[in-house]
Amino acid sequence: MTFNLLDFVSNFLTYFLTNIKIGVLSLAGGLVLGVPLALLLNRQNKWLTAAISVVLFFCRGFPVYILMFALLNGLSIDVILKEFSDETVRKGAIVLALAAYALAAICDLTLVMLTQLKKGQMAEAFLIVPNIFRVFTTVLISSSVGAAIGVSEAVSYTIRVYERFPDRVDRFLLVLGVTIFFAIFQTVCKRLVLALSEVIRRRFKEKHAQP
Amino acid sequence: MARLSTLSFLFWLLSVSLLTNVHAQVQGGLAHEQLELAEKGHCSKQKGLTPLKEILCTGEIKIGVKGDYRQFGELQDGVFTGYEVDLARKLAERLGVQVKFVQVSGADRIRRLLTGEIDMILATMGHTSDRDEIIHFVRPQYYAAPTTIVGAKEKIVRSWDDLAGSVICVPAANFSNIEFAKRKGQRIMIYSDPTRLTQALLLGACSLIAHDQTFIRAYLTGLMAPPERLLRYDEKVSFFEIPWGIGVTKQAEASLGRWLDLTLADMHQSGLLIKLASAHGVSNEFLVKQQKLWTQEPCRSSTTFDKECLVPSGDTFDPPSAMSAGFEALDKLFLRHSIKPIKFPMFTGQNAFQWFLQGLQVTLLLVVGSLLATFALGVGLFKLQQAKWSLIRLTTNLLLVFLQNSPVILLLILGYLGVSLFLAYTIPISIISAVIVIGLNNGANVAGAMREVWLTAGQQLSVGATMQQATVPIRAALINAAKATPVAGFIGVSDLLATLNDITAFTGEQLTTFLVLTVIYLFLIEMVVIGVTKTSNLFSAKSVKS
Repeated sequence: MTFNLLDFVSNFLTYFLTNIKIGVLSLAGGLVLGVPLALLLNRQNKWLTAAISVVLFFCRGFPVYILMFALLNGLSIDVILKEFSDETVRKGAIVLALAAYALAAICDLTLVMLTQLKKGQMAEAFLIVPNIFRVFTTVLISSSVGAAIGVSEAVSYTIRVYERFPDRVDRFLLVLGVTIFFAIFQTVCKRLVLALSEVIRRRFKEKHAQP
Repeated sequence: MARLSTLSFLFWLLSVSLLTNVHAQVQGGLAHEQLELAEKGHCSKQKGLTPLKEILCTGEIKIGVKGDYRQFGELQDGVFTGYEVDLARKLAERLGVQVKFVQVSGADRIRRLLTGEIDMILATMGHTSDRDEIIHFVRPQYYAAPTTIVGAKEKIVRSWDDLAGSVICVPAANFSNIEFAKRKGQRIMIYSDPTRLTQALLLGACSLIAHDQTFIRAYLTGLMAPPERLLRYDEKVSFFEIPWGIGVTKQAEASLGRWLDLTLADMHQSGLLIKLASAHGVSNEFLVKQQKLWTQEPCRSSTTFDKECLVPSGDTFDPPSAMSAGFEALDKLFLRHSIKPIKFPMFTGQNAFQWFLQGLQVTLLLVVGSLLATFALGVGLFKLQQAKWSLIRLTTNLLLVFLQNSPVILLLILGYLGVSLFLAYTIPISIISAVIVIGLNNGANVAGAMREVWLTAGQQLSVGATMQQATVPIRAALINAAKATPVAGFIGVSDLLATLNDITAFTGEQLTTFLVLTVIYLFLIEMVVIGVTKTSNLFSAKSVKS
């Protein structure tokens, strides 16, 4: 078979946009639910705390991969299937599974931020911004498990392409290339998180240093 | 009066055929009995009518057919067409009643029959031994087809061995999916209906799909399929040929069921079924064999249908496990309180329970193996980072960045491809490679955390002391390793998720499958958290003492 690298890269990046969309939607879900949960936890009502702790225990402890499969089965009911396409239902399952992870992470971050605000540590409190970006990169990279339930994203596209290669070495090299892309992407994101954290710390230092 | 005239005509018609055919003779006898009943005007007065009498009295038969199955049952612009639809019309015609078509799916057809929404199922339903337990199948059956795996022509699959590690998309609640649970090594992805399944293949979400050969040929590889699909796809492997039967309730077995048995035998004998199938381009090898069978002795003149005249049902029966009685009692309890019965197929069938236990064993093996590998490889990588030679240090650091930042799913695929370059990919090999990959992915975090501690402490600490100070990130890496183990199913490891997914594929029971999975995984991860925390606390306490 003929393999055009430029075509592959262009298609791969188009599919990678799906991963970004899934990441954005999951983070949005995590923010919408995680921040209010943290605010409720901050009220220190014992019943509320107990109820929210159960939710957080589930979201933290449950493997995203299993949750994704469970959600896919939960969403595969006639009422939903009549309204939405199969691809949407599958994307919905991965978005919700990742949103559960994001929810727990954002709730923890918001609680830390609230504590630091109380202590008047503004710089540390503002570190929530790069940390939310860190959660975003984690959900974005984790969205690749969507390939297991047939979501058309970058990894499932790669698999579709490598399955057409008769030579196993070619398959290996293609997947290695894509893995290196993901590794570089996440490394760059981690550096950005560090740089952003440094900028925030410096800004607040400068502010405090001003007379 | 109009109905009485219709019934009289029907009786006359059947009496004529009585002279020609022994099956029609008995069939006519049955109809005569119904006619007498109608003439006596008992339809509106009598209670406890047989299902056949009810149909004759109401003058309508409700038949469940497919609406999305080309050549067999297709709904277009409000009109049903196909071989099964024509057969349904012929049956209603012979009964002298109106036919009302109700579109059903593979997942809901039996429920709709049992709840009385329809009188019979004529909807591409395979006659299997486990379905025999719930409903009555009309014999002789009206069709037979194997399940076929289809994919793009460039994907080379000559036998089941070539399918190891492949993903096969399958329709939900299909009896033939049991074959995947038996064979293992493949990963299956379940689709709710055949249309979505075909779409998944066409859009590339699935590279292989498995369905009835008739369906595959109608949409993808047969002469009726669009030419561009014919050029693109071919049939890879066929298996599990099974007869397709008309289904009625057990209560209808002696009346409607018996009438249908005789009518189908007559239709085989007369060649009518071949005609109906040919009119829709349906292949007729099975029907030709059946016609030959029913025109020869002893089947030709048998009304009790000897064993040699009947095609046996597909053997999908899973003998009850030791626990099945307990679950049956639970079922009855639910029913008594009008709660929808919940099935636990992974516990009630012997085979399913055995597969469940195997899946659980593999999962435990994966979790324990991944924890050990994460720890051992983490410490190993940390030691390599301290190597004398700068080249080794540089290579290790690069490897760490790569391992820490790559998605585990891609690392698993790389591991699978790497291993299959040198070794035959077997189930034990898939487990070992998954353990090593998960161990490397999370061990890289262990090594990274230990190095950070070691550097902060001025490069003076021993390995033990470094581990003690890096307890928190090491614990996090170990818990993450345990949580990553289900992803191993992606490369064909038959863990609990993969096994329960296989069981769901042929039983159709989704609720309990994922309930059981959720409970087990929550328990397992919590055990890992407790175990890892206790071990690290013990380790810390010992270190403080020393």
